[in-house]
Amino acid sequence: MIRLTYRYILLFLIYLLPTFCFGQVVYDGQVINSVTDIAIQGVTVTLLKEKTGTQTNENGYFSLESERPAKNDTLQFTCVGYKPFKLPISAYLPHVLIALQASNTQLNEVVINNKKVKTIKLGRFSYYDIHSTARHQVVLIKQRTPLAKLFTAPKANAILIDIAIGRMDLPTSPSFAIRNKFTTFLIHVMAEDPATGGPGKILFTKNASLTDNSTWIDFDVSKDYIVIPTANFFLAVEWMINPYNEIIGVSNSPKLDWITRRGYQMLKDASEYRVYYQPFLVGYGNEDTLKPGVLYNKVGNSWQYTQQYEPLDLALSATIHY
Amino acid sequence: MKKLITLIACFGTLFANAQQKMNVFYVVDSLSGKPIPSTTVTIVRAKLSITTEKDGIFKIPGDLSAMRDTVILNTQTYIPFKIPLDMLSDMDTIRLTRYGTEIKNEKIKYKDDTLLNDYKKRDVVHYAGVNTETANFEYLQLAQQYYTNRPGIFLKEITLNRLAFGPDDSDHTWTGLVFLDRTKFRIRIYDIDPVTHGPGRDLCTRIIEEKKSMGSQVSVNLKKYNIIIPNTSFFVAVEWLRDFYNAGYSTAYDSKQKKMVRQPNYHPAIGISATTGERLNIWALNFKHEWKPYGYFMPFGTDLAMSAVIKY
Repeated sequence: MIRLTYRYILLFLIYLLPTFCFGQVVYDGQVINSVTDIAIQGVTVTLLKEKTGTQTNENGYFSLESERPAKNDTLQFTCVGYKPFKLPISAYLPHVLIALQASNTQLNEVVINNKKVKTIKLGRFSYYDIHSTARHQVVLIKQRTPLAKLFTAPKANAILIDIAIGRMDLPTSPSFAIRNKFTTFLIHVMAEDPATGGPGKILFTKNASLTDNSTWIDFDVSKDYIVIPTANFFLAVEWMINPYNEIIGVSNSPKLDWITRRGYQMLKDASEYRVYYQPFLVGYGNEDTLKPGVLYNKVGNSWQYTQQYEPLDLALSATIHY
Repeated sequence: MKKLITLIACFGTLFANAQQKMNVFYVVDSLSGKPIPSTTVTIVRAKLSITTEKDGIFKIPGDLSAMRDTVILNTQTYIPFKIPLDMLSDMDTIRLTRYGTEIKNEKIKYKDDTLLNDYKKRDVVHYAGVNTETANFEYLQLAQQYYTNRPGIFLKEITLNRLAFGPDDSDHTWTGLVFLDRTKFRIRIYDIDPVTHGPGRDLCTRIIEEKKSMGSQVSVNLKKYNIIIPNTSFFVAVEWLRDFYNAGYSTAYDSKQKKMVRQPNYHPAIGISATTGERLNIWALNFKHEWKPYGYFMPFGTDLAMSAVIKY
């Protein structure tokens, strides 16, 4: 009993260790427009006291390494056309989302639009949808077989101009130690199979390659001129099973048996490693708009309707012109 | 009643057949007769490998005389022992002979430190040492090749990154599963082989064994071993001790069986450097005891996350 108590005290002290560590710290996150939800590139992110800074990339993602983290330092976000924003690092959370407000001095946008063409975002989700809060249910979708989601356009022959995908940032659970930002995967645009109603002919394939920890990724496909002949169509994510996409998880295996000279031995709490393949997608739903997505799983060579993630939807959207 | 006895006798025969013979072997030093701990015993074709415990004992079940395979016993400072499996059926003790000469280098004063193959801990995301869907990890050692400007340098320290889920300095990846991270392993230092250009002879005949229970970074101070590198290239290898202490599982999807398959796995898993070099510098010792370039993570994984401090 005493040994057990000591073990718990030791574990407790181990848990406290990071609190006393003031080594290198990395601040990262994404910056978006508070109204349009569009990622803002070129935002200057500065640690005011340490006087180090970086800029957001095309996904609005930044990663800023602090060599001497000070408790009362502040992260400042500045960008032409937007109000500056300051975030004390005491309020920083890993993979923070910053929504910048456009400033009054911003030039009025000039929109040239062909009124005959309408734009609609199907399967729309927001940055907030893909991050877990009290009102949001978020699950990690880690598959090894392709997963397709059904979209319904107002009419046939729409043109696909953009695909957005929500990605789970790691570590999301204790069993994943590493944040593997690098991944490659395929996104297929597929017509509806008239016989099965499931995914049919592949119309277009996008080779996706991610190199940062953005949780929202936009793929501009407007230049690929993808015409979808049917109103119903699918976007399918295909995982690539290769070493590049590997990420190792651990679980606690109940026991491991062993026979030695002394006889039978049993190792309790052996580790069990399991390799998963990136990207980890997001299943989301909130209390107000809980609407499951229509999803198909590829089993062997055929697509099968799945209710595996219900009542959640897959964070995957398609923007079309029609 | 007679029928019942016959039935029981039949079952008895079945049970007798099911019970396999267990062959027990003792690995001992040929001179002292003392058991040799941590000897790697590999059955080549079956792709099985274990490491003996402190008692130097290993067991092979079944009728050895009918088995067509080869056993290799290997441990540092001893001459490797290779024998057909069926020839073991008449033996219970295997005597290994030590290498004759111990390497003793003269102490020389060096001035300048240089760090080779530096890596950023935070960027290490890939690890070797775990079975995956694409390949089983069937290796006894992994070695990193280093290059120096001139021969005669002094190897001072190495630092490597291994897979750990417990706390680490300035890291927030601590979990309640910290006790799963424990491992012990050996470090081997090799000269370059003039023929294969892979790892050759041992440059340190003393055993360098490391134990680590938490954290991903392992630094090994090699000063006391007085290791002098005779050529302009050398290797530092991690040798797995495939014993009870390091044992765990790894589970991967088997496309032939079309299901997840759980197999024994031994700690540690070694990090792959995120920096891609111009050439592949990782070598692996397979179950046949052959050093081969380790290209599993190619084209991006050319180096292990293992740095070395040398002195000129």
